[in-house]
Amino acid sequence: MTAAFNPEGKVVIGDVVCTICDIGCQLKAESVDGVVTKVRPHDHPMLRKNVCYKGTAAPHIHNHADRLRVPLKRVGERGEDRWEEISYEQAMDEIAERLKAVVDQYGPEAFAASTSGWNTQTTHGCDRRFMNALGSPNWISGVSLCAGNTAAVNKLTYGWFPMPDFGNTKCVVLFGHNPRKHSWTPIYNAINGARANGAKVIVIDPRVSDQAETADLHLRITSGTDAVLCFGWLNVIITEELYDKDFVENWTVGFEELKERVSEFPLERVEEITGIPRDLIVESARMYATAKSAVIPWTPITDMQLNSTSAIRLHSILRALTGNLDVIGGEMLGGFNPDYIPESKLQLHELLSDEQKAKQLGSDLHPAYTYRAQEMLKEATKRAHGYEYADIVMGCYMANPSAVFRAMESGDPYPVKAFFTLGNNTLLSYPNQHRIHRALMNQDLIVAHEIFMTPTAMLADYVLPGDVFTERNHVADSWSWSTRLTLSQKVANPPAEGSSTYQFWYDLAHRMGFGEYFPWNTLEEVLDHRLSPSGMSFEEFSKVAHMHAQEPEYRSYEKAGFGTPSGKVELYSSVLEELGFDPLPYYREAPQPSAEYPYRVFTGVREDSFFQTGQRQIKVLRKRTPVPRFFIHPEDAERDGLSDGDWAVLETQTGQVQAMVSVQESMKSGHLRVPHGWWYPEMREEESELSGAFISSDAVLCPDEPEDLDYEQGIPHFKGFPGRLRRIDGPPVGIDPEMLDLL
Amino acid sequence: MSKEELKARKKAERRSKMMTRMANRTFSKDPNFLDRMAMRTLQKRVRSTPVDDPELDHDGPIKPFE
Ligand code: SF4
Repeated sequence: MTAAFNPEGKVVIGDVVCTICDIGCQLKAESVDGVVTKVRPHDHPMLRKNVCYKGTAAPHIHNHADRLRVPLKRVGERGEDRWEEISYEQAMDEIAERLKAVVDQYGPEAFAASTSGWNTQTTHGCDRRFMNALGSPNWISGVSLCAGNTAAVNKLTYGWFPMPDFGNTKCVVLFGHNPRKHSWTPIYNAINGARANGAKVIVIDPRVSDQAETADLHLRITSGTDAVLCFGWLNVIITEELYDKDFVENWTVGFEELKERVSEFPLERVEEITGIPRDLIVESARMYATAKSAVIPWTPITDMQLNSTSAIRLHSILRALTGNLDVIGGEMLGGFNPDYIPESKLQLHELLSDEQKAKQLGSDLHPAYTYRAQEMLKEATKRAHGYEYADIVMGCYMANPSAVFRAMESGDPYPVKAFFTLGNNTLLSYPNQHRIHRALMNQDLIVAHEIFMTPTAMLADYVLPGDVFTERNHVADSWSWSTRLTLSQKVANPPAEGSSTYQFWYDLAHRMGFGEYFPWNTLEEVLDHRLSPSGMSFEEFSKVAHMHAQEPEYRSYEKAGFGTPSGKVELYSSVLEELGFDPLPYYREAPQPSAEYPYRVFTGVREDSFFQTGQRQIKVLRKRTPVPRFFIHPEDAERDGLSDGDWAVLETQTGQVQAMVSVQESMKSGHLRVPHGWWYPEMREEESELSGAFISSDAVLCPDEPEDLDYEQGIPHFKGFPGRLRRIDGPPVGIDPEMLDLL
Repeated sequence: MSKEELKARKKAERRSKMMTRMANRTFSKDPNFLDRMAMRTLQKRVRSTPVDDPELDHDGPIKPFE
């Protein structure tokens, strides 16, 4: 468990890194008597705007009455939500015993884990370290649908996942991404800063989003067709010779092949598929390609489409062709931070045998982010970045979640019988929730490590209370994505029977007989080890600075080439070719709307008030978004006889969910937007199954059979699958009346 | 890229590195004279005033869907 913190009745103020969402703002936290009382903006002039109302709500979250404080052991049937309280020691002893039994009977690959680094933060790669020491390759994470997969696919093209240089750029291209004042706040501020420095902003979004309202150009794309627009841009850029000829000649392979593929996308075809007028495609392509410098920041939209791999690769190719890689105002290939041992090293991927790596679920059909594809980059990564494994944003050596849930449900290709979920409400976090439910019901052992009871935790055998960011020390490096180190200091006490995720894996490893791989007894010892290249301990670092940025290194590839087999930017991917896929990006049409299912449904949408499936029990946040809402265009509302404020059920071929209707002019007609991650903590006391986990959760809606997935990664098509709406009489029974009164 | 453009880019890159060094000074928890100078320079450049956003305060009235 986390060491006791003894502030002796004092007010303590510390620098903290907020982990309520994935963006990691540095804030100031205050505590009194070991209890956090206030979280406020940082006072540093560059940081003070980087805060949203979720961050300042941290004391409401961290001190919430429903926070888990004691380990729980299931006493009823699985999912019945009946528990006995036990000690942490007893829980860990029993978990170790039962995990050993599963491994003895089925082999180590029968153990799978789903974690969210965003939420837990201080695992220090030790979930993977534990699994690699045990012999299981079956680690999954929400980053397979969000940023992590983008990192892995970027590596196929140029060996790293670049970070946009917002501070110096002259053009920002947002593919559906909509950073707002209270969502992805630092990116919102960075875009505003770029605008103030004269940058143009191009927004590609079916909706008139907040970013679209102020954009220089807004392209109202048909959802899910990003790849085709990129082909259109390339068409203009190549035809008009707007590309960086020197860079293409010296640093890329496959330009001629790419040119031929691009020629399959004349602008008439691009216009027809994307719904964007031809002249706007040309104008925007020119604006992007002729800007002095330009960035296409990561977007959660391109991550989640049937053509995700091709679309992500096309972004990479655009960056390269326009000469925007590793230059000022472009996108920086930062590499490992020389002052901090990366998680990639701590994970000990070299411990896992080739035989076990070959068993990684999903790697046969969808290898792009699994060991099978990523290990083909080992030598190149070592040459370019100094170490064979580069697990950027945790996304580069994952099993495929859909394949893992299939194995958990059916035993095919082999049984998976033990499942751990840490800071990750698994049931609502991946596609095809009903399958995930069946998969979880078929387990011998489920362990959840959480700060609140969740629908997934209700299905567990053991639920362990976790810690939060004000209760632990940390140095954040954005999982090797940024080259900045950011200090986070403990100002408050975690629950006495709680643990950090590091402590959890450490205690389990020692009980399982491989404690030698976990020599650091505390989080602070891990931090000392990770900071050792800087010559500082954690304590010294925390006295010297609250942040440290690496000096940018431009055109770093000139030293040892790009981290690809050819050492160049692979427009034509040698890795995809060797794996038997199309080495060039392509377009595959997703299922289209029909008379029966007239909408293009897009899911996985973030609301300002919440991060993923969290915070629905935090009143000050929930009041801002009391219920989930479907956004539809007035024409569609009229056709379906729906009005603003009605309740409706959305049906797809996979499932159905309910929400309130919000009729919005800003929507593109034919499109239907569904918010992500809804369940109802207030229904825990009701008869509702798993706290309303199946009522409004978008994870119910999207299919995930292999044919429904992006071929290379196995990503579902969250952005535009067919659905239909039907009016219902009112809201689901059991919603907190206080929330309904607000409507 | 023309020679002039290349020259301008190199200059911008040198400036950007210098700005990073300056920013690092401003992150110091125990600032010396040079660190304080860096902070004063930054304050002039950034001109960001303390955040005054009523939405950050959870005690006031909250309107749904705003
Ligand atoms: S944007 Fe908000 S929730 Fe996210 S890290 Fe920053 S303060 Fe926290």
